[in-house]
Amino acid sequence: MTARQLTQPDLQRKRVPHGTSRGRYIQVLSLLLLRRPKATSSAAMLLLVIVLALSATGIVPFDPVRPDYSAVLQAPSLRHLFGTDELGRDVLVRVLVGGRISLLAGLVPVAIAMTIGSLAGLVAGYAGGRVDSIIMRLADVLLAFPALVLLVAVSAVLGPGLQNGLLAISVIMIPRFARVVRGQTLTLAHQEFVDSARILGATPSRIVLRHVLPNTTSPIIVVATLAAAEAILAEGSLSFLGLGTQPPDPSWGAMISQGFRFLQLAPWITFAPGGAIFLTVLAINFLGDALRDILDPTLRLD
Amino acid sequence: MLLVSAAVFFLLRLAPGDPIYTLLSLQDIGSLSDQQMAELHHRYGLDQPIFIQYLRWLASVVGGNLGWSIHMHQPVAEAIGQRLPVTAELAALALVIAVCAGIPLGIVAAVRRGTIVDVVATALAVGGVSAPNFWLALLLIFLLAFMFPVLPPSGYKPPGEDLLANLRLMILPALTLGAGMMADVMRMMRSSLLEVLGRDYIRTATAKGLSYDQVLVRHALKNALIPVVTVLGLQAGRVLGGAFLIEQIFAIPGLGKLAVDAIFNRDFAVVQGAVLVSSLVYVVVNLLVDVVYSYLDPRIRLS
Amino acid sequence: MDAQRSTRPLTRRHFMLLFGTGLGGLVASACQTAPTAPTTAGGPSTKAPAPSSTQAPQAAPAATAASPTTAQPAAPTRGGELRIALAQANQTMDPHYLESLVDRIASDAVYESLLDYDETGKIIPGLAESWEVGGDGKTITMRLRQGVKFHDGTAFDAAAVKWNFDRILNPDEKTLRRSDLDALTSAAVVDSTTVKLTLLRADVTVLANLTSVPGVYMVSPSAVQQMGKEKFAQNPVGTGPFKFAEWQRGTKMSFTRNDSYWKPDQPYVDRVTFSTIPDSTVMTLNLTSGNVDIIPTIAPKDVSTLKSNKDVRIVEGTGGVWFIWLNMRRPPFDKLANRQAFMHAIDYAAIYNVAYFGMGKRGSGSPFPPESFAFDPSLPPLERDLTKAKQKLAEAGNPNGFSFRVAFAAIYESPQVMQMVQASLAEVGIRMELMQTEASRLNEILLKDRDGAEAWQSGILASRLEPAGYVDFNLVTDSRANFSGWSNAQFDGFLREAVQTFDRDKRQKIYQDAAKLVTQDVPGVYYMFPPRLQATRANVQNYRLDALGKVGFRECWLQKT
Repeated sequence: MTARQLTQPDLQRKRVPHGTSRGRYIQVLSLLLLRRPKATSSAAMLLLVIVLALSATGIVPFDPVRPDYSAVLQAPSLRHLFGTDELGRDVLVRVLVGGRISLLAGLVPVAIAMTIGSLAGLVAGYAGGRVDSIIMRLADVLLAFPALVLLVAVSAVLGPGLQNGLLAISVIMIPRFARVVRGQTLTLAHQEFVDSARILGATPSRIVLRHVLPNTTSPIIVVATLAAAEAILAEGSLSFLGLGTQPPDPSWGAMISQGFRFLQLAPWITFAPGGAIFLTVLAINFLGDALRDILDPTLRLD
Repeated sequence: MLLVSAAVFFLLRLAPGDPIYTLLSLQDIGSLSDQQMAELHHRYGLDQPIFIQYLRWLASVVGGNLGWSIHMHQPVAEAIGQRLPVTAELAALALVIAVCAGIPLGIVAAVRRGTIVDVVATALAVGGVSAPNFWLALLLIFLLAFMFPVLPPSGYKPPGEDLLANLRLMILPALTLGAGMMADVMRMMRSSLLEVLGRDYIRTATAKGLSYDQVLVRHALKNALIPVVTVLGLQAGRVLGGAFLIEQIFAIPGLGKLAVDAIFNRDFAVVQGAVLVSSLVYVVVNLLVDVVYSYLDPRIRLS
Repeated sequence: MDAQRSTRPLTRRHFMLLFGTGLGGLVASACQTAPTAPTTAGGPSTKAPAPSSTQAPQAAPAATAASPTTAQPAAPTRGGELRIALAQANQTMDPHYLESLVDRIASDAVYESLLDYDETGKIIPGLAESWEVGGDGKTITMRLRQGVKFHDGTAFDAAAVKWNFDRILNPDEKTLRRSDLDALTSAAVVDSTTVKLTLLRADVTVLANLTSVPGVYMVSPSAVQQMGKEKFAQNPVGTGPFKFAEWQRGTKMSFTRNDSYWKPDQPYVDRVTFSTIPDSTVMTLNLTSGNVDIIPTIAPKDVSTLKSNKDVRIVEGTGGVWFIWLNMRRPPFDKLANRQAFMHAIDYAAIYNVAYFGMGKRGSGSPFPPESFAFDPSLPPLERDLTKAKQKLAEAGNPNGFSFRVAFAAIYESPQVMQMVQASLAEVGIRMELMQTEASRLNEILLKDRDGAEAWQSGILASRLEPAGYVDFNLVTDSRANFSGWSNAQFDGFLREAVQTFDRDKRQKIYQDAAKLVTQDVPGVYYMFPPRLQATRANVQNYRLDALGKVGFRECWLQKT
C-alpha cells in the first residue's frame, strides 16, 4: 500500500514539460520495485540467468559444440548434471550457452521494434489524419495475422538463421509499440504543456521528441517487458520449427527441437532447455506484472 | 482484409523457393523433363507476372473460388473445409478447459485473496503464460504417453468415426493449448472480481443484508465476467497461433498444420486461403464477443 | 553383413531382365510362398542370409513351391483389418500423376502393373503372364492374364492396356509417367490378350519402368472416362486385391477386400487402412500400443527398445544411400585435392555407430547401394584418414583449410549427421556452415540456384530397380540435377553402354567400373547406406520387405490370437 501511495504522485510528476529528471525516474522506479518481493526475486532470477549464460564455459568444463562420441545420450549424472545429447555434448553447458541466444532474442527484437514502433506511433498520433490512418492500418494488417504464421512467413522470405529470425520477431512486435505510443500521444498532444510549447514556437519534431516521448516511457517499459518474454518464446518456436538458430549452435528452442526425436530415449535433452525458457520467461513476466502495477495504476485496485 | 491478402500474397512470393520444386522428390527430378517442368508451371499459372497472379487470384476469390492446392491436388476451399472443423474442435476443447478451470480458480483466488490458495493459483497462472507451449506439449507427451501411457501421444481420428478415440487424442493438445488461455482467464477473473467487489453497489447489496455468497453470485460474478469475455475474444487470435505449433507437434490435420506446411511447401493458394479464413474467424469471434457483452451488460446493447 | 554379402552375388544372378517366358502361372503359387524367413524374422536374426529358395536355379517354380513349409508353418487365415501407418498424407490416387512414395504404397492396394518384382528386385510377371523382347530389343510382346476384371466390372484386356499406354504417352494428358516411358513409342493390340509395345531404341530399363516402381499401374478406362480426371484421382478403380472404400484427406484412406480378385483365396484380410502419422517416434508408439499393424520406417534409435518387445517384429535390410554432393564449378571444391581432403576428413565410423547405432552399412563411395545388383562388394568402406586429409589440403594450396556452406533438410538423422561431419572437418581446419533448408529451397539450390551453397546433402532412399536411377539424373554431364557440375566422358559412356547391354553380368561390371570413377573424381561423397527398418505386429504373417522400400502388405494375413 505504501508503494502505491508513493507511485502516483511520483509518476504524475513526470508529466511536466521537461523530461529531464531521468535519473530520478529510474531511482523512484527501482525503489518501488525493490519494495515488491515478487519483483526483486524475479529480477534476481534474471540476473542469475544472465550471469550464468555469460560465464557458461567458465563454470562447466565441456565444449558446447564439439561432439564426444564416448558419451552419447547419457542420463544425468554427477559428471553431466543434465546428461548428454545425441552427440555426447553436455546438456548443461549447452543450456547455459544457449541462454545467450535466448537473452539476445529477448533484447534485440524488442529494441528494434521499440524504436521503430514508438517512432511510428509518435508520428501517427501527433500528425493524425491520413498519416495516422495509413500507419495504423499497416499495424492492423500485421496484427490480424496469427503471429506464428507471420513469423514463419517472414522467416521463409528471409531464410533460416538466427539473425533473420530475430528480424522476423522484430517485425511482428512493431505494431504493439506503435499502438500504445500512438494512444498515449493522442492524449498528450492536447495537454497544456504541449500546447504551450507549440505556442512558444517549438518545431513538431522537437515537441514530439522533447515533450511527448518522455511521457510515454511508462507504457513503453511495460510493453517492452512483456514483449521480451514473448520474443524469447517466439525465438524458441522458430528454432523449434528449424527456422531460427542453426546447428550446432545451441539455442533453447533448437535444443528442444533436436531433442524431440529422442524424447522417449533421452528426455533430459529437452527438459533442461524447456525449463530454462520457462524460468526466464516466468521471471520476466513477474517483473512485467510488477512494473505494470506500479506504472499503470488504473489496471489494478488492490 | 484486402490489405492482409495482398500482404500475404506478395510476402510469400518474395520468399525464395519454387512451389513446383516442393513437388519433386529426387526420384522425380531424375525423370521429369524441362518441358514437363514448364508445363507444370504453366498449369498452375506460375509463369505469369506476380501482379497478374494476384489479380487473378483476387478475381477468383470474389467469385467464391479460393484456388487450387498445388501440393495437395485439391481445391483450397475443400482442403480448408476439411481442416477447419478439426481446429475448431481443438480450440473449443481448449476453451472449455480454460473456462472450466480458469474461472473457478480465478473466483477462488479472488475470494480467498492473500491466502495460500491465491498464491498457488496465481503462480499457476503466470506459469501457464510463461511455459512455451511446444515444451508443455513435450512434457505432457512424456508424462502421459510415455511414462504413464494412459493417452496416445499424437494423431487424429474424426469424431464421427470414433468419438472416444477422438477425445483421447485431443486431450493432450487441448490441455497444451488451454493452459495459456486458462492462465489469462484466471488472472483476468481474479482481478476483475476483486475490482467489482470493491464497488459501491456491492457494498450496498451487502448492507441490504444479502449474504456474501448471494452478493457474489447475483451481483459480482456477472459484472466481473465482462472483461473475462473480452480476454477470451482476444484469445481467439492466440488460439489460432498456438494451434499452428500444437497441430504440428501432435500431427493433427487442422488449419494450422495446413498453413505451416503450405508455407514450407510454398503452396501459395493454401496459405492465402488459410490466412483469409483465419482472419475471418477472428472477426466473427470478436463479433460474437460483442453479442455476449450485450447479454452480460444491457447498457452496451443500448448504446 | 558378411553373410549378406556372400549370398548377394548368388541372388543377384537371378536379376534377369530380358527373359521370362514360361514364368506365367507360377505367380499364383509363388505369392503364397514368397514370405521368407529372413525378412520377417524378429530380433537379432534379422540379418540372416537370403533363403535357399532364392539360390535355386532361375525361375524356380519348384523351389518356391517347396519353401512354404520352411517359412510359415501356419496356413493363411482369412479376415481382419490391416492397419498401416504412412509418414505423409496421400495426395493423389491417379497413378499416372502420382509423385510420392506414399501414393505408390497406397496404389499397391488398388492397382496392379503389367510387371512386378520380387524381394530381391528381380522382375516377375504381374498382370502380364509373360513377355518377350524381340526386334533387337525394340519390341516387347506381352501376354496378359485372362479373366481379370477391374473393380467396376469391366474386363482387363489388351484394349484396356493400350488405352492406359495411350493415356500415359499422350502429350496433352501431361502425365508424369510419360518421362518414365520415354523410350516407348506406342502400344498396339495384337489380340484380346496380347499387347505389343514398340520402343524408340533398345533399352533394358523399360521393363523395370513397366512395374509399379514409377507408377505405371493399369487403371480402369471406363472409370476414368465416366468420372473424369479429377474425380477419378479421388476414387481409384483398378484390378488390385483391394477396392477403394473411403479417403479422409490428410488422415486416412481405406480399402476393402476385392472378392473377385484373380489370385485364388487372396487377399487374406478384409480391409486395409493407411493412416498418416508423420513422426517416427509416434509411429513406433502406435505400433507397440497395437494401434497400427505395420510401420514402414523405424528410426535406428528406436530399434533396441522395439527388439525387446515380443509383440513386434522388425524387418531389416538396407535402403538407398546418403551423400553430400560438392559443387565443382567454384572454389573450394573446384580443386580435386580439396574434395579429397573433404572425403578423407569425415569420420564415417562415428556416423555409422552413433547416428545409425551400427545398423545399415558404411558407405564405400559407391552411388549404388547394397540392395542394387550394381553394388560392388569388393569396394572397401570409406575410412577416415586425417594425415591424408591434411596432405591433400596442403596440396591444394590451403593447408589451413577452407570454408563452405552445405544445404540440407532437417529430415531423419541429417541434423545429427551434418553436425558430426562439421565437427570432423573442423579437426583439419575445414569450416562447414550448416544451412538447414526447406524442401522447395533445397531443390531450387539443386536445380537452379547452384551458387546458393557449395555442398548439397540428401539421400536417395527409395531404391531403384535400375542402377541407372541412382546416377543418371545427377552425375551424367548435362543431367538435370548435376549439382556438382561433374563431367566425365568415360562415366557417361559407361552409363550409355549399360542401358544397351542385355547381359546382366556385363552390366554389373560396367556399373561397378562407373562407381570407381565416382570415388576417384569425388563429385560427391556417398557416405552411408542406411538401414531399411520396418516393423509389424507379431501376428502379421507373410510380410515381406519390399525391395524398393514400399510396404509388402498385399499378401499378409493376421494370425488369430
